[in-house]
Amino acid sequence: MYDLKFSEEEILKAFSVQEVVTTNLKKLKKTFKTDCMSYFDHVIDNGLHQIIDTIYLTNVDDGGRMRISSPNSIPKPGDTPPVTVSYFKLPVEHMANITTNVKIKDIDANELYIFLENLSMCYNAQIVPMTRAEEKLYDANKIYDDLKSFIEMVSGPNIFTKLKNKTLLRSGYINTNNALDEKRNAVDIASWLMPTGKVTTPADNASLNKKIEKYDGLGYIETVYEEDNHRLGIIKYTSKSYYGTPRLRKLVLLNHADALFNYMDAGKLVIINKHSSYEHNGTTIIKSALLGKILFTDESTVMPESRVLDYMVEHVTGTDTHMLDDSQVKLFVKKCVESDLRKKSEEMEKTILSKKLKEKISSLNSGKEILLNNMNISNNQIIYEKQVLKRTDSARWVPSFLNDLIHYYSFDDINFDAVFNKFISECSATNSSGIIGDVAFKIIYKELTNKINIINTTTYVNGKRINKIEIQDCLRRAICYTNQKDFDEFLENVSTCSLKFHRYLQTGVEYEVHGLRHTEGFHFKLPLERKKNIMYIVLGEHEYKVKNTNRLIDMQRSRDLGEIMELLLNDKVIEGLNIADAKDVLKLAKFEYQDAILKSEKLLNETEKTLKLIKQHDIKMNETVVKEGYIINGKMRQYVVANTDKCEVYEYPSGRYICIVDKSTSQVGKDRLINRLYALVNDRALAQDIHTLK
Amino acid sequence: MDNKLSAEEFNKKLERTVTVRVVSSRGHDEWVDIPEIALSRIQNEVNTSKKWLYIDGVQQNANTLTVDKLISAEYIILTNALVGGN
Repeated sequence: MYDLKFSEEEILKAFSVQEVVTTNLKKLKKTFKTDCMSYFDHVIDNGLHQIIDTIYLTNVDDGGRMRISSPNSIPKPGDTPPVTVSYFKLPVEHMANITTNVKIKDIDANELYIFLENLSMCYNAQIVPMTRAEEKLYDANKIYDDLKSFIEMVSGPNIFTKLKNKTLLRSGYINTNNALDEKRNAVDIASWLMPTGKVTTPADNASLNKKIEKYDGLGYIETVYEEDNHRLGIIKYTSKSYYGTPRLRKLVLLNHADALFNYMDAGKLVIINKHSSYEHNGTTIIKSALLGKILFTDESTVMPESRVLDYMVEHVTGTDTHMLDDSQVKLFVKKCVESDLRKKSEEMEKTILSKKLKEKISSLNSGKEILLNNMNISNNQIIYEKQVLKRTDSARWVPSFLNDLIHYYSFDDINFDAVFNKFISECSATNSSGIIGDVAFKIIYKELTNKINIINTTTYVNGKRINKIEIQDCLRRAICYTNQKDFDEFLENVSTCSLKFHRYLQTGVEYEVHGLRHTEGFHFKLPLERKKNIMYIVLGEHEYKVKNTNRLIDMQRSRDLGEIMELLLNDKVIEGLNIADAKDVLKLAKFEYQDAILKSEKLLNETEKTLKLIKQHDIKMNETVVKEGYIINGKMRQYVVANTDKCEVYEYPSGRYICIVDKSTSQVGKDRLINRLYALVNDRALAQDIHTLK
Repeated sequence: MDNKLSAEEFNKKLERTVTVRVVSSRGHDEWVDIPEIALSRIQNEVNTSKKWLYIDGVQQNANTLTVDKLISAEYIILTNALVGGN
């Protein structure tokens, strides 16, 4: 049998208390704020069972919802006999970081109203009112006599004290880039925090409102509350967005020791820091920038146009608020006008230059030669640093070629790089012939119809059949050859074995295998060799015949060891490899790759000793910083080589980039760096080969 | 006596070796050879694989290289050739 064990007398007593409370709540005739609590429970607890009656603040009249629960364990023989108690349990949210259940003997309607009003203000200001110290003092099991201590905890002036003492867990809207959309909220929060504070507002809000409409982010200090050497300001500003131009507000609290305190005056115009288009992310603004990016110290300042304000924002540096008086604003206006004039004149100059360039280009048609960005140009060839680009299949190709280029590039950018790229691209796309550097080329696209009437196009460079997609690469390499024989030999090689395969023959096929965990996994490389047009994997003394090189190369995309093993064991890819062999291949390949990297590191150390070089950090040049690299004393000049994958080379200390490329890719690890270190020490001797050193 | 001395010299000559490092896809290769063979291997690498030769950090023309120069060298390396980019 279920036994409630509540005496009639106890229940009557408890319910009479509840009735008084609900009657008083109704009598108060006020709407209770429900942001942090929408109901409370009346609990009658006899130590074993509980009668819980829930009373809803939105409808005190409905009599609540009653239920019976048994949260307590059955008392054992010898335990102190349970005593029946009754209390009100208030499940309060947002007072601490978790929901706080406040137990209280009796509820005074007025006290509850004040408590919830203050708590709602904390919630609207996004402030968590309970400090760590208060959290320690709060006892969840204690039945408090009344709400007085909790009202103290959440009252505006006390929250202000906590803000001053920096004991709050979160300062909410204060000193963050959180924006308040409604004026009411900002003013309500400020007057709640400083009810006895001295309030100052600008004399003429209307004209200030008009001023700030001009510019996105322009605002003014709308109200200042001052108390106890602290100023709490409300900054009103405009924020233009897709949805219109709302006026937003920020709350800023400063004490007299802060450098910006004296500038927190009602009516001062500011340009606020707009971190991003999304303004509600609640980032704390650093103290030195609380009043925005720029603060106009003279209230009489005539606000310049948006263009000048943009210029100001662009040109004030650092993160502090910059104070600009009237004369500094005028100076900015002057500088902005000068900058605009300069830009305009540059634009004009460019237009004139472009016009001149067009005239120059058309003069090529009459057989004249022109000089453009260090390139000597005639109507059938372009020469830069003794490197010739010429077409022999078209007599006057240059004028139309340059006219095309000026549509895509500004005058300064029509350099040899741009010209070279376009030349290669144009020549490789069609039947053409000409000269690149010191060697001649002739490209032929030949169409052949097979037995079933399908047309196939085969491509030839200098009579050698070359894969169409590799023609551009072959032409690019042409500039590296100083005699025709070498270039033709290179084309012959590409014809018998494509550039793609050549690259893999030089470097091997590299794989990366992922392990089960983040730190597991390894790299390995399969070196390839070609004998009589057949590819072999060569590891140590073993050779394995490759039947499908493309599949072996495509497998580089896989990170799965199982898939790679399956491929290695596939007879259609590699002939006659069994599991034991495949394991050996992986083992050897992994070892060889790691060994190669270590050997390359060792070679770099030897190079440092031989060339007497010291690795340096943060090498500063004009507008360029190399984090790690070497300063090299060449015979012609000083250089910096960066210790990166690309091994960028710069002239030191000017920071001018010098483009140097490797002729061979047969290298790993630090080899690219080693090639450059030796070459730059010997710059004078090698300038003939590395023309960018001249 | 004279014959004995020249035999010693001959043996010494045979024992003389030079070490050449070559930048390669295997990190680097290292050969240890008698100078005469090393000279011909260097010349072959420079002419066929277009490698650049440096002896004690100074660039050298492999085709005018002598055995004496190799013997007196402390550090010989063949690097990959470079070219000015665009």
